[in-house]
Amino acid sequence: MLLKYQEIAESIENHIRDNALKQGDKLPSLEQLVTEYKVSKSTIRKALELLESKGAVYQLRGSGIFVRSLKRPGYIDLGFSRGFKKDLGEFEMTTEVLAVEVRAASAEVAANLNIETGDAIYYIKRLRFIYGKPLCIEESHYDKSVVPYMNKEIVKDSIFYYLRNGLKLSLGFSDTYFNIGKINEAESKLLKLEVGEPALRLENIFFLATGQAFNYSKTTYNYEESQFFIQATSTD
Amino acid sequence: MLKYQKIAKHIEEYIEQNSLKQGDKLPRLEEFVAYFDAGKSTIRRSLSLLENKGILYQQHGSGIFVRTPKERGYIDLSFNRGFAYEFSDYELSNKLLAIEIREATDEVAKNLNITTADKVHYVKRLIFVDKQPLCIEESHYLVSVIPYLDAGIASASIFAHLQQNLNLKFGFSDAFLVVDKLNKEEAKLLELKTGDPRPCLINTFYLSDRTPFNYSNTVFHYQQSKFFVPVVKNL
Repeated sequence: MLLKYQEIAESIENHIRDNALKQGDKLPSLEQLVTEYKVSKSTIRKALELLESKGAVYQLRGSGIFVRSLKRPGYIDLGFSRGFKKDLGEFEMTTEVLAVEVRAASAEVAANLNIETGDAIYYIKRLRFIYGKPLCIEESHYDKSVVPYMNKEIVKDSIFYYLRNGLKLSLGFSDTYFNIGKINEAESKLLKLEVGEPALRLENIFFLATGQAFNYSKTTYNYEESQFFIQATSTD
Repeated sequence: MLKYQKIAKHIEEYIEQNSLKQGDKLPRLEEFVAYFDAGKSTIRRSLSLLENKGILYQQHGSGIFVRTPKERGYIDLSFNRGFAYEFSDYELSNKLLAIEIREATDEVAKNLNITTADKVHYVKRLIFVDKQPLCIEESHYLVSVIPYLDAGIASASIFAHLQQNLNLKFGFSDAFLVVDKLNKEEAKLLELKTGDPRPCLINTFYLSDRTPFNYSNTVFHYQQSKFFVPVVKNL
C-alpha cells in the first residue's frame, strides 16, 4: 500500500505522461498542488522530493517546479530499479525460464547478501527477450529467508510484482555495478552473439526498505539490444 | 565548503576510520546535533547528502545505518563532477588532441538547445589514469556560457576551471550509455584492438539554472573502467 505522498508523486508522474509534458515545462506551484490534492505543504514537499530524486522534476528556488523527463524511450534507467516492465513495458518483452531451484549460497553470493556460505537461496536463471531478440541473461540469487517461495510460474512474469504484491515486501533500494567484457561461449549461444563480442555485465544488490539485502543478481546484456540512461547531479 | 558539507565529510571520515560496514548503526539525529553543535536542519542536509551518495540510509523509526559500496575503483555515475574529482586518488593526465571553435552539429545543437549557427568549443582529449589510457573524451562547450577556453585550461581539469575561475554552478546531467565496437582510430588511441568493446557515455551537463553548457561523448577503455550507480530509492 502506498503512502499518501507516494500516491501523489505517482499521480503527478501520470499527469506529466498523460499530457506529454516535456523537459522544461512548468508544473503547478506548491500552493496550487496543496489545493488540488487537499493535503499539507509537507506532504506535497515529500512527493516533490521523491520525484526530484527520481529525476522526474527539478525544483528551482524562486522559479518553480519543472519537468525533467529526458529519457529516450527504450533506455533502461539505471538510476531507478523498478524491474523491466516499467522501463521497457511498451516494448514486447518475453521470458524463458532456464532454472528455478533452491541452492546453498556460494561464498560470493553469501558475501553480497550478507548471509552465511551454505545458507539457502533461490537461484533463478532467465533469458529475457525484446521483440523476440535476446536482451539479457539474468541470474538472480534470492535469500530464501526473505523470499521463502518461488516457482516457474512466478518467475516467468514480473518477480518485482510478486515480491511487492504476493509477498508484501517493502522494497528499498539497490546498487548497480557494471563493467564491460567479452562474450564467452555459453553466453554466445544464449544471446546469439559471437564469442568475443562486447558484453555488458551488471551486478545488482537489492535491499528491502529495512536495509536488508535480499537479491544478488548478475545480468549480461546483448550490447546490440540495450542502451542505458543515468541521471546524475554534481551536488547533493 | 558549507557547514553541512563539512559535517557530512566528518561523518564519512568517522565511518571510514571506524571501519563501519553495511548495516552498522550510526548515532541518532539528536546525538549528531549535540556533537556537531548544529541545527537539526543542517544535520538533516548532511545526512541527505550522504544518503544520496549511497553512504548511509535512513530508516524511519529504526535509525541511520551505514551502506558501503563494494569496492574501490568504480566510477560513480550518479555524481558528475569531472574526472579530476572521480580520480582524485590517482595520477590523472591528458593529451590534448584537438581544441577549436566550431559551429554546432545537428546532434550537438539538439542536446544543448541551440541552433547549428551557434558556436561551441570542441575539445578532444585522451585521458590517462596512472599513465594508462582511460578514455577518449570529446566535449562541446557552449561559447555563450564559456566564452574562452584554450589549450592551457584543457591541459588540466576543465570543470575545476569553470567552477573556480568562472564561478559556474553545476546542476544535473543526463547520461546515456551504449556499448559498441571500437573503430581503428579509437583502438589505436586506447591501445586496444579494432572491434574491441566500446562503452560510450553520452552526457549533457547543465548548470544549476538548467542551462545546458556541455555535450560530451566519452569512449572508455573497457578493461580500465568499472561503473557504479548507487540507487537510493526503489518505487
